[in-house]
Amino acid sequence: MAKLPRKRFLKDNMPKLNELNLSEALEQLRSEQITSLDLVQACFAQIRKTDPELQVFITLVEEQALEQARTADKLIHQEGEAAFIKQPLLGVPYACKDNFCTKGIQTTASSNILRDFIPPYESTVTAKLKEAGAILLGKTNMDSFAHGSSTETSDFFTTKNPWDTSRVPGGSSGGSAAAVVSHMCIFAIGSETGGSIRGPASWCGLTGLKPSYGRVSRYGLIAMASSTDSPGPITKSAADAAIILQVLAGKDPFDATTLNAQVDDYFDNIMQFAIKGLKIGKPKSYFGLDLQPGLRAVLDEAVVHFEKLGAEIVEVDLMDPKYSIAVYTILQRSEVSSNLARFDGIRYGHSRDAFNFENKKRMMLGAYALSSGYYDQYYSKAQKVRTLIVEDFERAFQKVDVLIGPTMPCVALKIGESANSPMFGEMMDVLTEPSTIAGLTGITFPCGYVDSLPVGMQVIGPALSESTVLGVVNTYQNATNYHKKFPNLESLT
Amino acid sequence: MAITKDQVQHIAKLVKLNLPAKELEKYALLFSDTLDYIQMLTEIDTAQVAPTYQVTGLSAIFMQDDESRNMLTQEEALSNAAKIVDGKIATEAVFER
Repeated sequence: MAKLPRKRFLKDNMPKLNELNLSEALEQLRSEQITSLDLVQACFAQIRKTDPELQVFITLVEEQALEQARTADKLIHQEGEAAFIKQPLLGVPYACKDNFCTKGIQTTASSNILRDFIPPYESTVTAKLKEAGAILLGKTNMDSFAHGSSTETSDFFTTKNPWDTSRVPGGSSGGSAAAVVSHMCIFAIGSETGGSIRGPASWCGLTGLKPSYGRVSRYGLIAMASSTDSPGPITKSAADAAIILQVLAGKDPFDATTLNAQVDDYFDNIMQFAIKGLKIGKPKSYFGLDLQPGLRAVLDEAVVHFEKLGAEIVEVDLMDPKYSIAVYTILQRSEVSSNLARFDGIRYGHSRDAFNFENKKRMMLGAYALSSGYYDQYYSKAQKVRTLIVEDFERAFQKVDVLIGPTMPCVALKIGESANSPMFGEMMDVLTEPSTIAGLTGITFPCGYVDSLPVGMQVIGPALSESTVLGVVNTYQNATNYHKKFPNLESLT
Repeated sequence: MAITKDQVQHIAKLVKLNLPAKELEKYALLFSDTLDYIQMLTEIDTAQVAPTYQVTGLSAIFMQDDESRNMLTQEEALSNAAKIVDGKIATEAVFER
């Protein structure tokens, strides 16, 4: 009975439960101010209200989620805070990009070829989240097989950007970003190969972390380009991303490319992080790019803010990112042609005729680049330039601790704008591709607006420097409010 | 670099795709555009550079026997198969009689 007045207080004066960030939700679940069931129901209420217009989810698992919420509430009530030591995300609802295999739950990669695919096994990422007590609400829309940067290549529908529904949310993890920023879930999972976490997080005004290659397991993630695929969180803050990375990171016997390195205590590290004296590199070639008018002023203001916080800004020379577009295009197409060869329509999935135009284009170009007579000219050449890109970053990190730059060259584009650009995705991801090719970690965060649309800035660090890049962004977010701004969705209801 | 419709047809065969004839030209144009763009890599001298096929530096990683848990049952492995005969996946004939 004693809890009733507090609950009424929450409903009257606090944000709706689904509007909480992860840190807040955990705090209130731990102290039993709220129940997981109320939280999950609030998310589904929001999904019912906004998803018909925003087109975020391909699959919802409401019954299962409500059941898990009831179980979580029982555990919390019985064990109290101790329950969160074993299960640090207990009772927290999340959304997952539809390219992570979820046992018994349809997983499509937004492709017609997998429209009826029910995985008989669970990806490591979703298995770890389940073990940690997180509750899956559903699977989110993406570019088909992650081939794109807008969700427009999805075989099912195009997700709308909640800031402006005539625009795309970015991609390929566009559904996951749209779900978080419209408060349909507390956090979401995406995957990045060229810019697929940072891009949509930037265009939706969120924090998106691409971990170092090999830090988070790819097991059960439907492969795009295996040498750069990296799963990661899309969240409402850097602190939230740190909590989720803690659960996801680590060696996995099912993914031979996962790193054996010790997993940091990310959350504690960012709480103790001191930005004073940190050397932040500002690559001339990134800021010198042809950026949308207005973007540079917003970014410059963020740079000044970092100086005020005590960081030292150092101009650095980095290779022109245009070369990364070429390297990425060759490597990605080649790996796609190899990875999509397994779809034979025999063991699972529909026939190869179900691939869409974009899938076919990428596979064929990859097969061409790998074919006898052209291998040295394209694939081998690209892998050599990749070495130079890796070395270029190594030289930069001898002088500075991290690098900052714009995440995307413009704010969210209108639906349909990408139609006539054969390399649209690559062009949009020009500033995220170099670091992904080199296997580095990068994080985007909102730092202002152009035409009322969010602008993202990114912090890039050496491989396994997640504590540092998260710490930099957390320091910025402690001093600013951009990450607390969300689109007004009243018109959708 | 210009790619011909015949080349597109050949690549399609290599990756086992049936392309409608009307799409061949569209792909040919797109491939030519993309190949022209990536031509810029020739500006970079890589004569003395070794390739980077992967960035982790890991090699010879094997799964331990005790880690081979979670094997699929036969039923699970067949659960998405298009055609099953006697508990096995049926395929198109490969050899002609």
